[in-house]
Amino acid sequence: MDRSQIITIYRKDLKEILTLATVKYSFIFFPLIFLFIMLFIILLTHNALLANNQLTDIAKLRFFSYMATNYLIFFGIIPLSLASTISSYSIVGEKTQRTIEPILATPIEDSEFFIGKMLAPFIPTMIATYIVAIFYTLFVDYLSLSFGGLVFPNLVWYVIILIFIPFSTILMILLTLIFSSRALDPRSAQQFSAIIIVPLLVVFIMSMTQYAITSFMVVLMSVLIIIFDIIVYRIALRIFNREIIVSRWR
Amino acid sequence: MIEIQNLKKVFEGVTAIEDISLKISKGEVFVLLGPNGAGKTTTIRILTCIIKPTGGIAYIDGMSIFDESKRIRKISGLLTENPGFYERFNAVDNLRFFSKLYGMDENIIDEDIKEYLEIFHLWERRYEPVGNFSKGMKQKLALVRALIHDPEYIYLDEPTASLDPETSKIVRDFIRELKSRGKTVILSTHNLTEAEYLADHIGVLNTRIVAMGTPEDLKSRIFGKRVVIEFQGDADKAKAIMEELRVVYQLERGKVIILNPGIKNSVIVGKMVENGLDVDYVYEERHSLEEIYLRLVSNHG
Repeated sequence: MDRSQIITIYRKDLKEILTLATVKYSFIFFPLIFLFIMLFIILLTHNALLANNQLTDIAKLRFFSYMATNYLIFFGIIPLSLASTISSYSIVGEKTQRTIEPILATPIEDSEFFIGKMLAPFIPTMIATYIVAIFYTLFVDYLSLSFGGLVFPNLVWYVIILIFIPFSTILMILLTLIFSSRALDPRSAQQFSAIIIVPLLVVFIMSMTQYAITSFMVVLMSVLIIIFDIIVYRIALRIFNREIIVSRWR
Repeated sequence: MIEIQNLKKVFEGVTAIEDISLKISKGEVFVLLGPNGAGKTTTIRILTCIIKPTGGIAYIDGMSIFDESKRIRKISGLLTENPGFYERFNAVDNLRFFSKLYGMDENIIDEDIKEYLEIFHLWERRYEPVGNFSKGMKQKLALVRALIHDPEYIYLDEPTASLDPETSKIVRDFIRELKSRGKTVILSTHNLTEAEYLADHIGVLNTRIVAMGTPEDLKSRIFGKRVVIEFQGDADKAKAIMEELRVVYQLERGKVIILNPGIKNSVIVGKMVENGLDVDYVYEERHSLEEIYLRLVSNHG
């Protein structure tokens, strides 16, 4: 595998993404709005605990830690939403612009093309997510000092931020790219990206509302997601069909 | 050299090409002629390793399209039928992207881009978004993209479509220059004048190869050699002479047309003059490539 080919595709895609004003601003404003909502929620939680005179500081810290850790899973919504929009257009965009055939005529391999296409939505969305997550982490720790301790980083934080969210994002990008490569028109690709995010969001919300997120649970979920990533990547490469891409586009 | 053996491609039960076998020598311009849907683009896509054939095989410089597709793509340049670009990027950025995919040395990319953009009069507009370009400018840019990595085999699908006459001439002259540089050019076109002007060999394609040869070969093979002798005098005498010489002929008012004479023109003319006929002109009837093409395609349609 030639890394320079992957980087060439990635850089081109990133540049293309950033020339679209709507995408550029959604990269700034969506995470920013999300951050303010999260900071507001955690601040409300903190203030409610602070006003409670029946709990000891240790109990308050424990409850605050439980809530702040559970909220972490919501940070997956940022990359999932941003990346799904970009990756749904990724290969369809090459077809619409009729640049796919000249690309496939170059010595690029399918895997290099696919990974380059994956990185283009992945890296910027993860950067945006990490910036927001860092602010959240610092804010939570600042608030938790009033209960006499620090919440983050803990094991769940590491697993969710460094493993679960990135690999969930990769899974979502892979699924969207598969559909994008096989879509026969741009509209169906966009519809698919809107649909695919729903089950993933349901998983996020369920995990938030039903159970306390334990380190065992996130490790297990992360391992499953990584296994899914590997399987879906292999399927994606196997069904990436140059012939369908160049000859069946409407 | 390109060697194609029994190439076949079926798309969802529809045969696009069948039993195509041909050889294209290095440094020649080979023209693929055929109506829409004849399989020209499919053939080019197989030779550039974008799609795989259903049957048969092709070798480019001895490399199999199945086993060495990456190496083949590296020495091939393709101008697609509907060339597309990143419309928000400028010409230089578009070309840089494709140059890198072809593995070109970063140090020479910009020099080569400059050279080609100047040849095709696009240098002055190099930093404009390609979306602002006219159709003809995009076609020229697509041609530059096909040539930028200095490929040995150049596949041009309708290279002068949508170009004005002046630019078409630049492109045609450039194709000739490519040939003089030893490049092999495979050209798919509907423009018969262009085909005749450029082709060393022509393959007329209509799902199968229906005829192949040099333009002159095709002309004589399809219509035969037709010698016209315009004369003044007794038509019956002319008829008797033709019968005596045992040639296939057609007598019209003031002229006799002889098909594949097999005898020197001077012998026929000498005999006519001997018999008191005044011969005004002797010439070979010419057929255009268009007539040949239409005859072939209608016979195999």
